[in-house]
Amino acid sequence: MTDPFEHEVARCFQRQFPALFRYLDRALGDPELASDIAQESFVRLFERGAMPDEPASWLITVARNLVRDGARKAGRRLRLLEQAGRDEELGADEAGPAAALEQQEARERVRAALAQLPPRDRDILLLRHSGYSYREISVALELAEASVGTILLRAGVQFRSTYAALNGEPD
Amino acid sequence: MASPTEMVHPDDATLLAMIHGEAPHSAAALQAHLGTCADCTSRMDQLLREDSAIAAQLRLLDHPVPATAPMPPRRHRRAGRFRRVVLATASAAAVTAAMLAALPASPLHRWLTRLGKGTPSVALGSTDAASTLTSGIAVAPSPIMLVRFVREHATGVVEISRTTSPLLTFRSRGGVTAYTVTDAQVAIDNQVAAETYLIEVPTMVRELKVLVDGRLAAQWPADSARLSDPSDSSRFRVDLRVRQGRVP
Repeated sequence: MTDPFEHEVARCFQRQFPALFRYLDRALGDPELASDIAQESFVRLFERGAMPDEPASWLITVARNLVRDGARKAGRRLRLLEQAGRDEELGADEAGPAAALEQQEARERVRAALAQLPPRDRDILLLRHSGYSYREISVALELAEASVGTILLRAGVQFRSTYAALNGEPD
Repeated sequence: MASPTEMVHPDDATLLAMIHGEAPHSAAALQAHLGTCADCTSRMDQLLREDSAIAAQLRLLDHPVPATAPMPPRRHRRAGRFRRVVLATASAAAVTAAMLAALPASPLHRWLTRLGKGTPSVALGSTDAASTLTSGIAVAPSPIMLVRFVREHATGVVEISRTTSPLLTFRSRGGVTAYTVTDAQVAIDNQVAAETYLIEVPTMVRELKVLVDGRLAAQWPADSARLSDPSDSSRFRVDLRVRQGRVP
């Protein structure tokens, strides 16, 4: 018979894994690393033995700590900007080489614009667009919930402005 | 005391929060104000366009969500049991999705093909079929709204919330979906059973009909007795398994 907690964690995995992976994948630019960290976060949840009050926020916190720990131990930097190689597979579709190249350039602009955001603003922008609520973000990043919207707005303005400049568009 | 329509114009962060379905406490007053203030409505439209553009740009970075990504070597027996549970769940989903994607006639295949060509004809919350918990569609509010599910499922449950946001948002949890939006109507192709589909509906929608596999599953407010929580007058649940009903 399945342990009720196991069942609960499995359901949580179904609900939360895609969003957590999405956030990590966008932040790190490395799908394999993102997958490893997301899964390790769930293993930590399982080993915790009880569900936290805010599972989504708890998982984000654990994943961010794992990223930081991994970066320290291995001397590995977050690969927000340097991940051109990983993106090659994304452009290899039936749209043709010209469209793939255009997509690749657009991705590089997105990464460059993200890299110019302050780390907290970037995290909030990525978390929100990975599907997390303001409350989940505020708990995970230990912010006042009321400030999430303000930071999100600011981050969006800066991101768009930088992206437009990189794209040669008037601000 | 100022009436709702005379209130101070909300700032952009508040408007953005409303777009995100993160309604502040004074949402009712804000909604009333938005109904009469062309300037705020225009700013909200602009914010929506900008937010949608950011979402589209971030989606360029996405890799497919791994369906059966390997768990790290486990230190404890309990973790090994968990791994089996997770992998069994993920494997089942992956096999189903792969089968659907491989069938030329399947909606998932057509959807992925459209995505691959870069000309999606559907309004998507995510470029990844396995992605969940992402909202991202907008439909103009109207007095009557139809939400149509293409197929019935044994496990899916639709939760419909009344929200003060003027936008309709849709999220699925655990399933693979595609959806199309037309005027006051959302057609959801629930290709794999999701645990929950959550649809948030603007308050100005006076009547709502939910169809599952062509049959009427519920309508608001006639079915308000189906409230999922009697203390919450804003949400009712609709089981996706419909054995009886009529096409309206």
